[in-house]
Amino acid sequence: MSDQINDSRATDFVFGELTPEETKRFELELERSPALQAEVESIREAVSALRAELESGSRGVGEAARRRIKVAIAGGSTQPPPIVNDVQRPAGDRSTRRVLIALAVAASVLLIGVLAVPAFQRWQLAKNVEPAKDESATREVNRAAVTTTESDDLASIAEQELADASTLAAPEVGGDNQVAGKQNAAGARSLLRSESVPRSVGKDASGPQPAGTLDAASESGQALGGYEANGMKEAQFGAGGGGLGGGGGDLRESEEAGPSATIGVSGQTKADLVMPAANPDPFGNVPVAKGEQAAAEAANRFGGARPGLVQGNLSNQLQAEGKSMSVREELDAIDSAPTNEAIGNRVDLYAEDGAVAELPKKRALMGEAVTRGGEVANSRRRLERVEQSGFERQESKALIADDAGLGMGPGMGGDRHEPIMDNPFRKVIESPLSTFSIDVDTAAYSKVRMYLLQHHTLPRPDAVRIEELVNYFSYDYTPPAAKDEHPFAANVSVASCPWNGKHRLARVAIKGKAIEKDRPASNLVFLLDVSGSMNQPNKLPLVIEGMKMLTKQLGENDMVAIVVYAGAAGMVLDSTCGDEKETILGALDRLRAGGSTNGGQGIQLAYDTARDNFITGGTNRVILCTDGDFNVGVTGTDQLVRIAQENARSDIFLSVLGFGAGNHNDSMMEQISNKGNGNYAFIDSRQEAEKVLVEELGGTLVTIAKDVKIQIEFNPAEVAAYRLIGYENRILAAQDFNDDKKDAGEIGAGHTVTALYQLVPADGEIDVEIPAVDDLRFQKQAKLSKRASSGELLNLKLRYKQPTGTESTLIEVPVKDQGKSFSAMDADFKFAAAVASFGMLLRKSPHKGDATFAAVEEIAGDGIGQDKNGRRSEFLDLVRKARQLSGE
Amino acid sequence: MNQINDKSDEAWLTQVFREYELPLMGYATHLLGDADRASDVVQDTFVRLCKQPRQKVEDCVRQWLYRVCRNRAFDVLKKEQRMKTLSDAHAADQQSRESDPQVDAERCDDAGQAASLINDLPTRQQEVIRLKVQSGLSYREISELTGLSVSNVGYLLHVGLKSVRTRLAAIE
Repeated sequence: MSDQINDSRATDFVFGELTPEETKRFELELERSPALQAEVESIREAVSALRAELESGSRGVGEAARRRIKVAIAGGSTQPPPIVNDVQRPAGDRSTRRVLIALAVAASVLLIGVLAVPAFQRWQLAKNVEPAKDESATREVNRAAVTTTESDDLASIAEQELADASTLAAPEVGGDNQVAGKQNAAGARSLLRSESVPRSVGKDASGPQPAGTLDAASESGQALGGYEANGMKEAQFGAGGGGLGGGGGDLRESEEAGPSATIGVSGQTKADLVMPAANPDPFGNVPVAKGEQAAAEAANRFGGARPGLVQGNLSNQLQAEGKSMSVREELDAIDSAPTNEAIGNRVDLYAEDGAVAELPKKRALMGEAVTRGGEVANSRRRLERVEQSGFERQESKALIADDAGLGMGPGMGGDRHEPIMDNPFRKVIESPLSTFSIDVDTAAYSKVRMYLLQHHTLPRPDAVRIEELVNYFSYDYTPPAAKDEHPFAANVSVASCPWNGKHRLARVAIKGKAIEKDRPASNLVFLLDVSGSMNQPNKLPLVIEGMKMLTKQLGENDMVAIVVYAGAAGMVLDSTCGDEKETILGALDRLRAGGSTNGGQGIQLAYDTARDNFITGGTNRVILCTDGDFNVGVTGTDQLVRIAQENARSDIFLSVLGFGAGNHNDSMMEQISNKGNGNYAFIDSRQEAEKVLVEELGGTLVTIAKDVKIQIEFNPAEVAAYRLIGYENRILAAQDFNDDKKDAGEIGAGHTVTALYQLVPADGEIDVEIPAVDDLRFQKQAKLSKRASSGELLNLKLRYKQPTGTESTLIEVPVKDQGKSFSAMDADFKFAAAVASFGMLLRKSPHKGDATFAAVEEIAGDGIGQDKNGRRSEFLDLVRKARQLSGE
Repeated sequence: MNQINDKSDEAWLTQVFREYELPLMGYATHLLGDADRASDVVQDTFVRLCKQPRQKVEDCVRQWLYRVCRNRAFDVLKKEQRMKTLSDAHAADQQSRESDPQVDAERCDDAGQAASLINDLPTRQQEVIRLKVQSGLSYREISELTGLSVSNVGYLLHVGLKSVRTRLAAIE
């Protein structure tokens, strides 16, 4: 019976549904009972396996639904009913529409091999379409154009950009000289920014010459099918989406697209939407033509091409009339088309392709090829299956367990964090030295923010690394003087402790010198995870966006190479000069996610590439972007850490940028970035990418001091006990401080580092719990030196090495307590204290003292300062949210 | 008045959609048994959300979405008893097209393994597990949504997870 009760409570505990008292009691029991621990562990496993199953089985809404939602979000409800084209098509005129399609397709087929009419095309483009901004000039395509004699703005542009590895298809319809935006279909679940334009449709369907501007890449003798068929367009797109999907998904997609024609979708929709499978596809219209020959030809044409990124524009203005029947019929036509053959070809195509990411020399396995296809159709389910099929049973099970989608919140599997035990109070008499490595990581803050604001749950205590919360914010500390021999300045301030009036709070503030202009030449290798798990809107698309932001900051002195890894690792872009932005951006655009994750191999290749292009005296850095879910190859954290460590010794550093949640291996990523002389940031949004990769680029890229260690000696005459807040996984042994072989944290240009100590003054009683140590039998307590009566509170010592140096330099700063009250401190001090206090509350730390979220809010509000970038205000939002969630 | 807030509303709605699309689809698919109708229901749910004044739903958007989604799903099911949909025909179509043997094989293979974790649990347990595990609703929210008592939610979860664990152990 009692087992039964425990059992049920264990479930409640895992889901965080016990009341605080119950939780406390349960945790006590848990500590004592291994059986109960096993129980809890088993439930957690079951939950994460379940979540993986549910996630992998989940698919998004259908295309039609997505479009409707998008419109509704864009304010569809406040707009007038869908704009029906002022030029009406005869309703239900299916036969003419078919003729039209046939003509359009025929025209497109004719265009195979037809060279461009550049002048005409320019005119047409100028009239209808502004070329997409980042259209790569290096992959200019020849375009062929045909137009009508009618003045109907019936135009369809199928645009294909064929690079060595990519097919870009951008069927566009320009109505009012507006630009149809591009849809960036990188990955099936990519973040799409689509701007759609109302499309004018031919008035007289009986006499339409296909007014298409067809852009065909004549160099490879390839042409794209023309798209135009009034209402059919959507259906074609749908078919297209499925087409790339390769598998059984495509008809589904078409059918979803079909009914959408009945939906009035007003024009001018601008929306940032996740749009899976919105991949207009050059193949899509081929089956519509029922031309088996055409299909075969198309297949041939594309047989050698590697579809990379498919870009397209969806014109969203559909007829609001009851056209669904006719569309349905057209779809039936698609049904009867030789789909299977086409699928076969597509699959071959992908197999031929090797991998979207151009894995050199690596023929993609059939499975992987299908995976890619599946992704494009956003068939996550299939994706999972295909992924799994490649592995041993056992591994595949591990994958299920690991590959949970979005993390839901506290105690709910998926994300892996190292457990953190709060630093205890220590008596100065027993341990006068406090030694730790500095840490400039900020990942924990972004994660906490994501938990609170996106998942509406309190973060798991182990996800909260207080020092990372505090260091997320930039503080206005005094930088080193221009002539200072040291690359950073360190100061200590002391005031009363806001969450315990009897105690003092000491802040160690370090400010690295800023490098404004002359950033040394950089040799960067982007090591990007493109495995299946990255195929989420908050992962790969954000990675690509972030890397683009970074690329835009680079100049002629910088080199960039791109290495990707999934099931295998491969070079996407060999080291390229930073001013060849088009090339780099183009390579980024072509990335797509798929497959399993072999992080080890990727890391090795990235380091090799960095070594090949080593810039002496410059920044040599691998920038790893991943969700950290390494599940193939070298997966042991130890091994990866070793690779990073070895390379750090030869001055190639590592930055780790974490993305996404769910199976985010926080613990491993923190470790490899630490050992790799790097920094670790977690990027949960565009804004965060902007902060890390643009604003703080100097700090992210340029290390000004490495192996920075802090040792503080407390004066027993002034301090009875102390506690370092945060830095739990950065604690060093006292003797490590002078040991130059011991690795420690780095400071980047302009970085600020803050560490807080809570001090119990010597003149008060020790009101904190410190387990007693028996008196020594053979030794007496050490005597105080003369300096003890100097009134100095503590002595701050720092050791650091130059970025490529091997010997450390020592800085010493004795500190006195000026007896200030907390309210007399500057905004930065208050704010940092508030953040630390917030962290302790989230960690449910036993040392949180009187702190409440309300108190944190008050102090932080007081310390908000100028808050130029709004981050401190955002912090206040977090506090309020946490307060609400905690029920305080 | 909408003009001023348009931008942020749009961003907010997009965010909400992004966040809840998959869990809601999972839930609706569970209720309705197929993704097509689930897609319709989820679409309808979001479109309705867009019509709500933001301040009215913002604080309880999760409960709101699940409630509407659930009600809509049951509406559909009710209607279905009177009206036969085309879904059967569709299903047949799809089968015939999925003839890639490899994909088929994988599908079977996988279905045999993963789907077994939850699919033959009692419906109630499945629903509660989905709402808790995939959607992260609290016991209270689940209780309000389903009309079950909070303790019953806990019990169903507990029992359901127990079966899942037994199954997992069996796979191992």
